[in-house]
Amino acid sequence: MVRFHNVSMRYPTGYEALKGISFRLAPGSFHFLSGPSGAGKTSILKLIYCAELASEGSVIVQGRNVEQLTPAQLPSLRRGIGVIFQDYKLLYDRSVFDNVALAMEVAGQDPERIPGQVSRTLESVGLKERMYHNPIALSGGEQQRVAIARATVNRPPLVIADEPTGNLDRDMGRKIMALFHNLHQQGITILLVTHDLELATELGHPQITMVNGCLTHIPDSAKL
Amino acid sequence: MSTENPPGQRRETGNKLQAFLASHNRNRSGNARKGRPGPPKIFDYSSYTNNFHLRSLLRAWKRFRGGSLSHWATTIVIVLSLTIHGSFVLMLANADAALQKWKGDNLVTVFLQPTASVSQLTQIRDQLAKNPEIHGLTIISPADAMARLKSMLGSEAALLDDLQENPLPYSLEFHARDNHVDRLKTLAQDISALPGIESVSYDHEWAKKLAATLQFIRTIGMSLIVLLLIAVALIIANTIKLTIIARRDEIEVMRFMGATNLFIKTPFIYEGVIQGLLGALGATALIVLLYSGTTQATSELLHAFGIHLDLIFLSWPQLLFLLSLGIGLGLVGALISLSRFLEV
Repeated sequence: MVRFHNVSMRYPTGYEALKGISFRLAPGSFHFLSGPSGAGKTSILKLIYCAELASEGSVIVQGRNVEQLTPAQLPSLRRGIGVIFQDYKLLYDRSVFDNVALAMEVAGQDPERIPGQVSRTLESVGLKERMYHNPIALSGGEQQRVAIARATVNRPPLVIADEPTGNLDRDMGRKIMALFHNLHQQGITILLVTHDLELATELGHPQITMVNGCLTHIPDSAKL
Repeated sequence: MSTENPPGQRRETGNKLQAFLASHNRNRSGNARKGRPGPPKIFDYSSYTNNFHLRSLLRAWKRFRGGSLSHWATTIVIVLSLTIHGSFVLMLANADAALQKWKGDNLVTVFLQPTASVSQLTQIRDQLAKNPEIHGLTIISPADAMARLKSMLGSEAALLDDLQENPLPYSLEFHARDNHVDRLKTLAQDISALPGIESVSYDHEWAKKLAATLQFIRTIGMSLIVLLLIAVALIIANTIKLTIIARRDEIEVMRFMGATNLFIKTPFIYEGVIQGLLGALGATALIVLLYSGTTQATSELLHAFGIHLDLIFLSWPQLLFLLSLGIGLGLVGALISLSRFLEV
C-alpha cells in the first residue's frame, strides 16, 4: 500500500525533516507512528498525500511512484487516501452533512448516491442526528468524528491521521480510536500519528517510532 | 530501541478496549441514536446536480450572494464603467445616424446662367438624364424657386413683392447615387464645364468634416474606454483574489481530498462571469433610464438648432456586445486572479 525507500526530505529553508528512512505499510495493516515533536511524523504523512515531495529516495503509494506523477495525476491518487488532521480542517460555512458530502462531490461520485452514503457514514461515527448542524456547534470529539466521516465516506483503501486525538480528552480519544479500529476491521489500511502511547498500546497495533528524522523502531510488519 | 509493549500489558489494556468497543457499537445501533428520515434541513442543492457547470455556477452564485461588500462594490464599478461606455456608443450612434441622413441626401443643384434658353435647359436635362450616377432629376423653374425662397423667408417674404421681375434662373436638382465626396466633386466639375451652367452646388464638404470630427472623437473616446475597461478587469481580479484568500481553507481541504484544478477553479471563473453579467445588465438598465429621461430634452435642443432627428437607442447587436463585454471582463479578471493567486 505504501513503500518508502531511503527517503530524505529537506524543506526549502534547508531543514532536513527526514533522513533516509525506509518502511512499508501492507494492505489492511494498522500502524501507529509516534515520536517527539519535530521528529518528522507529519512530513511522512505529507509525502504520502503528496503535499510535499521527497528530496531523495522513492515514495510508492498504492503502486504509484509519487515522484513520477504529473500534476494531473495527483487528484486521482489523493482520492484513494483519507486524510485526518489534528485541527479537523472542517469548513464552518456549511453543515456537517455538506462537509462530508464535499468529499464525495470532489471524487465525482454520482450525486444521487451522496445523501444516502453521507447519512450512512455519519451514522457509523454516531453523528447522524447532528448532520444538520454547523460543525462549529459540535464538541472537539464530534468535529473529529466529522473529519473521520469525511475522510472515509468514499471508502478509500488508505487512511492517514495526524494526531487525531491530540486535542481530545482520554475518553473521547478512546471513542476516536474505536472508530479507527472499526475502519481497520473493514480492511482499510491505517497509519495513525500519535503522541498518546497509552491509547496506542490499548489498541495493540504495531508502532513505528522516530526521532529527529530517523526511524528508531520499525516493527517486522513494516520492514522492507 | 524498541517501544513494543510487553504481551501481557497489551492483552490487559486490549480487554479494556474491547469492552469499550462493545459498548460503543451498542450505542451506535441503539434507539437513542436513531436518525430522522428524509433529506437534511441544510441541503446544499447546488452541490448535488449532475451537471458540473451548473453546479459550479450555482455555487458561484451562492458565494456571490453571500459575498462581502467588495463583490457589490466591484459590480457597481462595472455598472458605472459600462454605462459610460454604452452612453458614449449611444451618442456616437445618433451622431452617425444624423450624418448618414444628411449624407444620404446627396442633393446637387445645378444653376443655369440667367441668359440660358429653354432649349439649352432641355439639352442639359437630357444630357444629365443619361448619366447613370444621377437619379431624381427635376427642373426647378424660376417661379418654383421664388415660391421656395418665399417659403423660407416666411413673414419676410413680402420683401420680394416689390421685385419687377423674377431674378432667379432655371435650375436642375438631382441626387447622386454615390456619396463619396471625391466622385461627387468630379461629377460637379464635369457638369460645370457644360455650356450655360452658372454654378453647381452640393453640401458634402461639411459632412466630410463632421465625419472626420466624429472619427476623431470615436478614436479618443474608445481609447479612454479601453483604459477604463482594463482598470475594471483588474478590479474584478482583485475581488476574486480576496475571495480566493477568504476561501483558502476550503481550497486546501478540496486539494487534499483530490479535487482537480478544474473543480477548484471553475466556481471562481463563474463568480467573475456573474459579476460581469450583473454589471452589464445594470449598465443596460441605467442607459435605458438615461435615454428615456433625456430623449425629449435632447430632441428639443436639436430642434432649437434646426436639426430634426429621431433619436435612436442602442441596437440589439450593440446591447449584446455590452453584455458580452461585461461577461468578458469578468472572465478576464477571474483568469488573471486564478493564474496569479491560485496554485493547485
